[in-house]
Amino acid sequence: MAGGTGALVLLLGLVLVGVPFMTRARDAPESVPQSPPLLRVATVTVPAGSRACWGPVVVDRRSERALLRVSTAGGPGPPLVMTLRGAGYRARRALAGGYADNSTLSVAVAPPRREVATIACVRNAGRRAILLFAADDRTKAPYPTHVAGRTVRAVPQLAFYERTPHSIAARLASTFHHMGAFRPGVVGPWLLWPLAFLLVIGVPAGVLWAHVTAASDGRMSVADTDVKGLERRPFGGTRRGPGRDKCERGGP
Amino acid sequence: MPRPLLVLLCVAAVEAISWAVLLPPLQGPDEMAHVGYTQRMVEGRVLPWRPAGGLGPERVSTEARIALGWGGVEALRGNPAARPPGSDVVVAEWARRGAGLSRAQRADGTSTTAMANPPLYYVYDAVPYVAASGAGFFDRVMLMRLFNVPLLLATIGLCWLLLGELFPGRPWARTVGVGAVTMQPQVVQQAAVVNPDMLLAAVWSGFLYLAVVTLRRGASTARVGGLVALAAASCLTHARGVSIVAPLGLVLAIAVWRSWRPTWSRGRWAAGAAAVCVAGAPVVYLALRYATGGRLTVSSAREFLSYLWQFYLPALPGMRPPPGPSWGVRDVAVDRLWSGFAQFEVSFPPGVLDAIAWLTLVLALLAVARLFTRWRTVDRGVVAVLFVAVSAYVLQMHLAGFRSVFGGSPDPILTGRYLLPLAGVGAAGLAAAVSWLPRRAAVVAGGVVLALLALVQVGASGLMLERFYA
Repeated sequence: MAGGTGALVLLLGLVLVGVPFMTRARDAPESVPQSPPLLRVATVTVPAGSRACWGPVVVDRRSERALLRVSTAGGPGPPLVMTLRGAGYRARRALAGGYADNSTLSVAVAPPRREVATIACVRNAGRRAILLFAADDRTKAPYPTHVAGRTVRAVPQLAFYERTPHSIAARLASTFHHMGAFRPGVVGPWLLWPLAFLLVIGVPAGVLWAHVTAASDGRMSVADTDVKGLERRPFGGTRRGPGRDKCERGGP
Repeated sequence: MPRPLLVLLCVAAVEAISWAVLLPPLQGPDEMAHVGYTQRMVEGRVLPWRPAGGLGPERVSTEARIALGWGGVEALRGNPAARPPGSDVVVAEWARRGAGLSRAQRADGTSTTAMANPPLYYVYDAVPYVAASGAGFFDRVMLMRLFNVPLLLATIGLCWLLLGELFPGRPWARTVGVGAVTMQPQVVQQAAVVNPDMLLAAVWSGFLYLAVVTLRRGASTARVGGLVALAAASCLTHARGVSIVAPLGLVLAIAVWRSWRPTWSRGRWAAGAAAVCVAGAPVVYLALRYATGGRLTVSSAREFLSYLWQFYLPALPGMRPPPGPSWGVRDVAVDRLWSGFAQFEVSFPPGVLDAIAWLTLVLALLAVARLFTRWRTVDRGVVAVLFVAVSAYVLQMHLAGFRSVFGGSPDPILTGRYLLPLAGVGAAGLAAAVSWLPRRAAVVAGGVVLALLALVQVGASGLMLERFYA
């Protein structure tokens, strides 16, 4: 009964909370080459007719939208052209002007067949300068930005998303592939799938089994001090204690 | 080995390995500082311990700096909008830039905040560092993480032994208590990151077990030697471990008294108690002087007591708010112990934490009530030692916490993972609370508690997955 009740609680929890958690559609980023800063706001000024480039920015087959944040200093935004150029890959997208100040622009991107390191560029095709929201604190990517022949320390905020929201469960295979990055070579899907199964199923089942086994052992075990002068060792067996009064006193 | 213990150890190993992989490199609390300590010690062949401070500006090695940049470590730290880089292309870029670094570029880090800690843990963690010295930086970090798994297993095994002494003949109560330690997500996280907390937890678990054995079966050279060695290890692991001196003194005093059994008159007892109070007065003075940063006055002493009161209870009329941020027992024993993973940005929803808080309170009250109902038969020496161990450890943290905020720092010091050395006592409390019920109901209740804890563990893993990879 102990195991059954515990298993029921476990099953209810996994089904009522775990399954919705794993299958809920989310608009989660595929990758974030440059996140918003934590400590201070920075911007990269792109004068009219100029271009800001930075990288290497990695684009993969699920990078279908690029998100940028732009400040226009109050007026309507000028037209922009975003390009991503890498080995065997080039994507170009023009953005019409007129967007509002401090807009987050979503740029549709034709994703590559496989992941590729690119140089991301934003050209200001209008007549007014824009400011790309950027990062210049400890969150900064480890490369600079080049604007009209100058090198600027700050890196424009950039994130890639899929076209439509998706669940954690639907992307578990690619997540396990990405988890191998910056870890030893043995860490890969072949290890992570069984580990995930053990963590979600094996760990709860194991601890309940341990409890049920201990409960049934407890019914059959001899009490520690019911044999005169002897006490049970912690790992089984018995030993003769030094004195009955000390041996008999137990814990709470 | 009992089968339940074997299964719990396997469960713990799976959890720790899973979290070591799940949590991106160096995202544990102060993890880079601890790695930097070990790296400086091994590569520089120096002992960079600076207990008096004076560490100077923090700077990691060239190798670490390249890894932190291209591995996205600094960008990710405490930044919910960031994601770890997962591309083979970025890994290749890091490998290209990190290739051909000299030993000098591994050893050129200067100091980290961890160098105020004693060196024992870092000597332990130097073993995997040296073993993987030919591998890349992140491979070394992963091996250093995995080297904490034996410490976790030792903690669980020692808690098992401790509860076996406290609950003889009730293996199910022991399994509930130790199972709770095994499922506790903060325990698992600390076992999966480079951090001395797991060593301190193992040392204290061993100390408490040996203390109970010494009290129950008598002092021997081996037992006293073991207690002293563990106390030394505690002091050499972290400054928080110094408080172990208090329970050590009490264990030895009780053990001596029990073997000596003096037949003193009341007058002698009173004189002895007075002598203890007189001897304790300088300790109290020094403790308060430490807590107030050397600025001990009646006013600052009262402020400390007010801080201590308001940490646990609502303010009394006339009490001013304590210095520093609003921080209390709920923040430490619930929010940061059962939540606040990675760099504290991964947390359960408030409703879950409220439920854990209420359940913790109910179980704590049941445990205390159980203790009082068994007061006539319980070994009061054991209870006294456990009480003093907990009190001394927590009080020392309060002294350090007050010193920090009284000096103007926003850091209250106390946090959930600092309670891990008291895991054995917590396990005993849970076992006592559950054993209050009639046996059949207690076994069912224990199963329900373990199932809920398993859900908490799995839930915490899910939150980590969501935070970093969704």
